[in-house]
Amino acid sequence: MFPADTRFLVVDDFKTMRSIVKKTLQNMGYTNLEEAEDGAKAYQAMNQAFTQGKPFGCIVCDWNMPNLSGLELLRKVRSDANFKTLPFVLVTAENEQKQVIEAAKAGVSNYIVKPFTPNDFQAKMKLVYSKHFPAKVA
Amino acid sequence: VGAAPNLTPSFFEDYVGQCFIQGAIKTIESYFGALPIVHQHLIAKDLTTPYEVAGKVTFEADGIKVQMLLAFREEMIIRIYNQMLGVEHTSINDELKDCAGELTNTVYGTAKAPLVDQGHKFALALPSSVTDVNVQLAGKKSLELPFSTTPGTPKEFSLILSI
Repeated sequence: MFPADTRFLVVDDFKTMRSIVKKTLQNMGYTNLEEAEDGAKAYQAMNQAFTQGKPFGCIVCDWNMPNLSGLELLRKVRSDANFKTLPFVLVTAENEQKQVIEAAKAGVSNYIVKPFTPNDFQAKMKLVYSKHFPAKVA
Repeated sequence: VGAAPNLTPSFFEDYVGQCFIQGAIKTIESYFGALPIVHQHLIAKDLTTPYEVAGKVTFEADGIKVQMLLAFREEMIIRIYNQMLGVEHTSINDELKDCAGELTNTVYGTAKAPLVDQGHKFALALPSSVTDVNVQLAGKKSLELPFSTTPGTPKEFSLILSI
């Protein structure tokens, strides 16, 4: 699982969902949590954190948002050398096959389908960590 | 069956209607921790409801514009929010409005996914929230599916589709 000091960025246009994700992460023992309300603000926060030498260790992002959607942010992140391999999880209720394929092609780390339970969330985060850091899990 | 509701009494028995019902049940059950009880649906023009807040999404399905509201009594959205986040508000405020919007977003996304996989076309839609529920229903033909969370109690929230 992600180390306890991992810095998470939670991105969603609904404050309620940002609070649910943050609460779930807090219950998993994480305290280094920040939030952004759309993809554009998230990308700005990521660059700022990177410049300050305190980069995010994982992005947990909604799909359907104004300004820059989750998929658009993911594509931007994957084309940026600084964030190319950053764990990036999409959280969405809209899990139609076409979207899942699009997200996979864009390089999503994993997909959490709303509504989710804390156990669902934790299981997906474990998978994300083992995908990105297989040597640390083995 | 088209994805856009034809708003007949049989709509909720059709596959499309079932997708919306299951979306609402799954969402409320997951976040509230209790299986909602489905009441008898009703159809009316200029529907009047007792609800104080609703999430709203207007979407276009197979070329027809549909408004979906997930509308709540004040005490119900307060209970749901408290269950979700452990915070008890006393009256409708921005956080409870946001909560209604997010629940609507989840119900809509959950209902839409299997329909899109079947080939139905939905244009991109961004949910919001409203407090003038009856104004949103004025002049429209609506199909309401009421729910409660305790047996024997009146409706506490409703899924309302309008055209």
